Amino acid sequence: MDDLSALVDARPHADRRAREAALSRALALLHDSAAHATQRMQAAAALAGAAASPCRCQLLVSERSSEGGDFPPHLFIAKRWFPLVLAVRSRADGAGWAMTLLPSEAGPRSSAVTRYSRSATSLVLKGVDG
Amino acid sequence: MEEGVRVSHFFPVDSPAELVSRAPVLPPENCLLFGPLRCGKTTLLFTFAANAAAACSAARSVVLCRRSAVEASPPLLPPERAPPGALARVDMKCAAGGLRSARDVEGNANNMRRAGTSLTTMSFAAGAPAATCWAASQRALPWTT
Repeated sequence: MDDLSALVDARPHADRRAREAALSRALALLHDSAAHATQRMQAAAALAGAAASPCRCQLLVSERSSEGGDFPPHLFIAKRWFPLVLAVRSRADGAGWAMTLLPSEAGPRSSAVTRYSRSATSLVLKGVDG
Repeated sequence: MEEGVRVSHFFPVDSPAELVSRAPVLPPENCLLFGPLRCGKTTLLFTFAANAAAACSAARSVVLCRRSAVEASPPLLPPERAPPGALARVDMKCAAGGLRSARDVEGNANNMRRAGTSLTTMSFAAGAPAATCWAASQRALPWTT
């Protein structure tokens, strides 16, 4: 799903609390939908005679960082639904972007930094550090 | 995708092999990707969807998005840099008015109408797979940099 906030804000919200509730509902819906799709795929594979199905529906959601901030405004809510959080930030030298995996409470994660930049027609993988 | 996904899956298939092999592997879990405006989030997402659809012939990806946003700033994935045949298995779906029920995602038209939500497959020419039309349309749309 592209731009979670834009979808949540497609309907008006009375206040911050109402918006947070809408965001939580949207995330719960997406999470349940992905789990449901996984169950259906695995059931279909089992019916077809597959011993152990590797099928899985993976959910990937993009979100904007807040203006002037490094993080989305409601990251604390989103983290409940996403074991993995990838952050894209502008590189200090101004030469493109850097993608990193945020640390998780579940255990150590890769600290590698993936660098990329935009060309006129595509994104270009520039390097992997660490 | 049970074995995990390389971060290189966010980039075109013709990225340098040496960088692809060094890219970290993500566990097969749900993922949030965030970043500032203009950092290429939509392109990263769309490229990931195309690469996931290319994983095997039965794989399929669905991209939920706002039509106005992607038309104003299309993802930067020229068809020739996408995995062969993968774009035909990527469906672009637009949710106007937000999501209300799980049926929105399932795409059941009757229930969507009942919920007052419009969820339509983005198509640029009737009868053709959406992603194929999408890929073809990119040539006609101005690039946004």
